Amino acid sequence: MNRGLPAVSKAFLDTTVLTDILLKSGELGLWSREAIKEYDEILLPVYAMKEFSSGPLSYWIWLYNKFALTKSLSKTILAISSMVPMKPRTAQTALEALSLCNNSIPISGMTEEENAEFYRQVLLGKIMRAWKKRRNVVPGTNVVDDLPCFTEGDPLLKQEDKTLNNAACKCHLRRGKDCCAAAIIKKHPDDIAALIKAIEGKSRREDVSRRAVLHKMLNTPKLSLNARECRNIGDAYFAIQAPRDSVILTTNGKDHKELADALGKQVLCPQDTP
Amino acid sequence: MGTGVLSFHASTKSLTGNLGSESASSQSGYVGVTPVEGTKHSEEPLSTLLDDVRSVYGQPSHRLTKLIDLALQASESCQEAIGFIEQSQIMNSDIEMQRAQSFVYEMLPYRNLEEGTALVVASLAMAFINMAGTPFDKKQILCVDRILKGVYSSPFMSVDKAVDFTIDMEDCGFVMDSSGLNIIFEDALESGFASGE
Repeated sequence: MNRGLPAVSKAFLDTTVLTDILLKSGELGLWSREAIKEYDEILLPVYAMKEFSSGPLSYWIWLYNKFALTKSLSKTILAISSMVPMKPRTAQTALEALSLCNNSIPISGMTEEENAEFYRQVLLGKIMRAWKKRRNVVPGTNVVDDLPCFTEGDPLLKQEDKTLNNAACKCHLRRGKDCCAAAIIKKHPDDIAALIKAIEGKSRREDVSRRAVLHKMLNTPKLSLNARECRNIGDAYFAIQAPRDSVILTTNGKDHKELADALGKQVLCPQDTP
Repeated sequence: MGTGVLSFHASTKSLTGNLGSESASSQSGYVGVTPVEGTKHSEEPLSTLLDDVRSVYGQPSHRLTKLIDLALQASESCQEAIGFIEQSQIMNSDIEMQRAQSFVYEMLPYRNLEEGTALVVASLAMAFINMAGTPFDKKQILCVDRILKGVYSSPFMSVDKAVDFTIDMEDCGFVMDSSGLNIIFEDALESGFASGE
């Protein structure tokens, strides 16, 4: 796949690509699944797994738990729609998808509860499979930049009500100890300064919070970061930690390119593919 | 006495609650699949397997017996399908897989013996749905057969073991997602569902 970029053999995966590979199927996530095949070495930073666990995986666990607790497909669909301001197109899609769900049940005469139970079990497989495969998204995945303060606890299934809980998977910052991701980033003050400059004056919420945490790491490096501030590092982590001879693979090219460009690093996203 | 091929993973405690009890689903208005005429079904393997169940756990419940019986029949169809595909008889192979599919759907009301068993049977059914009539290749048939053997030899399957089976299925090209559900949820996520935008 020649995209007019210098040939590199290493890919540094960001959270969006990890999510595509682990949680999406069919056309969804196809770009990511194809893109990683182009590289000899796949580097997966633990920070991506941390973001995956607290973001996309936790959303799917939320959906799973709705099935477990409401025991109803229609109530679960209603719960989803109540979480977002439904646009007319989205509402239409939801109705079509509900009909698709109902039509895909392979046996007739199932009760609402049995129907929901079928979807709950399919989702349990999806979530547990994604979590189990996280360190081996493709054979030979090289997991890098270990974060000792992040515990990769498995989602736990509560036998009584069949709910899932991924609370075991989180940051365990000891009092007075700095966030492990921050400790890694602080070793590169010049890069931090360059990233601050790259997002100077940007008013998006994530840029504002990222700038604040970058300023803190640059100007007061002895101050510890808390778990929320660690999350705010976000895309800046990938820009700084991607090796110079690698390309950052992401589906969020706009945000990553802004940061990676400032450090002279490469990004590849679906928009770059002819 | 049986052959000892069974390998149960569940604790005795969980079995106490499962054996001999019938689920709501198996008593519901479920419309079963009419057995396909001409289906080869050897009584010997089933009785052998049930002997094994009795030797370990006493008299098996109706649900357990049905699940083992259906998994065994579906597995036999898979083996027939493999034989046909090796002789390049694609149509006959697909006919056998259609039989396997109907047995898998018939297994659904009996799957709730253990969480892992339920997970793997539901995932297998979803994989068949997503195949949407496309004939299975040899690798996929062998994979389905491995899972069915796993179900009848370990009908009280742990979630961990079941997840390993579904990873095997994914590696063979099966999709176990619900496309309808994915459309709804991915759409919601893109609409700012999680970020509150």
